[in-house]
Amino acid sequence: MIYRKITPSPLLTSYVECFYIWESDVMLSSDILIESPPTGYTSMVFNYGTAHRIINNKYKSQFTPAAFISGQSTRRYQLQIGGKLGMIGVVFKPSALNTLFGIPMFEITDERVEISQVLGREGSELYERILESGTIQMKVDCVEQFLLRKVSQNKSPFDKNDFVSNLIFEKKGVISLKELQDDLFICRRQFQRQFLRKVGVSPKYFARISRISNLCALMARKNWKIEDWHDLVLQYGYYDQSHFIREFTEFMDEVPSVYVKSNTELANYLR
Amino acid sequence: METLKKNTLKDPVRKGTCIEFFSAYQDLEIERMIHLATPQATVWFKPLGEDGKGLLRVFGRDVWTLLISCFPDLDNTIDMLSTDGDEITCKVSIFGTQASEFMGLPSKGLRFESDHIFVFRFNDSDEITDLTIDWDLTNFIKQLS
Repeated sequence: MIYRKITPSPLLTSYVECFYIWESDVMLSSDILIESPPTGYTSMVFNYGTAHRIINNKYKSQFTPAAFISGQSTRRYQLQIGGKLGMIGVVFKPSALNTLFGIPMFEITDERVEISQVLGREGSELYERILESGTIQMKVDCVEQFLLRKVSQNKSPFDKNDFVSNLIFEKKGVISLKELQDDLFICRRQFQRQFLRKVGVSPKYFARISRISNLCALMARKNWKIEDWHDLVLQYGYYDQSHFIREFTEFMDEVPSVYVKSNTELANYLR
Repeated sequence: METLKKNTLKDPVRKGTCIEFFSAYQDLEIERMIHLATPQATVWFKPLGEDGKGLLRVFGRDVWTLLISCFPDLDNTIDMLSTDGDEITCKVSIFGTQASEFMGLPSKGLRFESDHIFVFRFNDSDEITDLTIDWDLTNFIKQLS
């Protein structure tokens, strides 16, 4: 299995975290489940391999559209993959889909929506061009050119909400929202309404997602071998062990000690 | 092969109704809140048990009127909304400062902040037909005591 991250053009870095290519060079003999914590990012995915299924709180096991946009995930989810894998994805910064395409993000939280439904004909045409592109580089170029055009045509500037959502994520969710609002002179109500529209959840909820996302990424980097839980709890701003376990379980449906032993995150398959 | 259904207009419209409900709640405009529901719509303030059930336009109006009079700065933040069939679940944080006695709780001028779960059910015309509200009542009382 090959999973490769590709850095976007510098002109896209305010909006795009990375592109990725996920392929298998052989047919998978049986289905496997790949799970992911909520990441704080949103995405655009184009599948040119065997269709895969999504399993989350809402969908027990359903095929995703071949090309889709996914909103903010608020819980752990699983992908059931099999056959021959082949997809290219764009990982967007938390508010970028709204900034670039005007999508009210609260409408697609925890959803995967067919691309043509959101972007209309240009979405289907982009997917067709990707299918026709012979190499990985051509597929990446295709998506990148499309996004660069969108950025250049974009009439709504990168605003305070984009800045705040990126900052919350960079600070791993460990940030005082009250101080942030005061520092930026933003009206709380207006800020929260706009944030819900731009990111899909409230700033406070997004900070909780960011914490879990970054924490899970750290655990994966450590191969889920955690020597000092106490240090981890403090580093991510949880009051105590009990607060940490409650939060982790709410987003991941499992207590941390079980998750580190039995998770099926992608990193397990890439060693 | 069953693929994720095309998102109909229903989900965004219904989510919009929920957002309008909480916007009216923020503005303390009860009539605006209750007129998003049918006249027969029901409400259940779950922690109050059977006593917490009634018609949204009657019982709901009474409860929100009492709440607003006891907590004049009552406010809310929508944390997230999710759909499942005809239901929309909203995780909402509600907060306010007590200014007068509320359901036997004397006012100490304390502030509460409590996570609530609102479950809205809709008819085919996208009107609210039922609302269930759940929260940690013990913790709510503890914050005000």
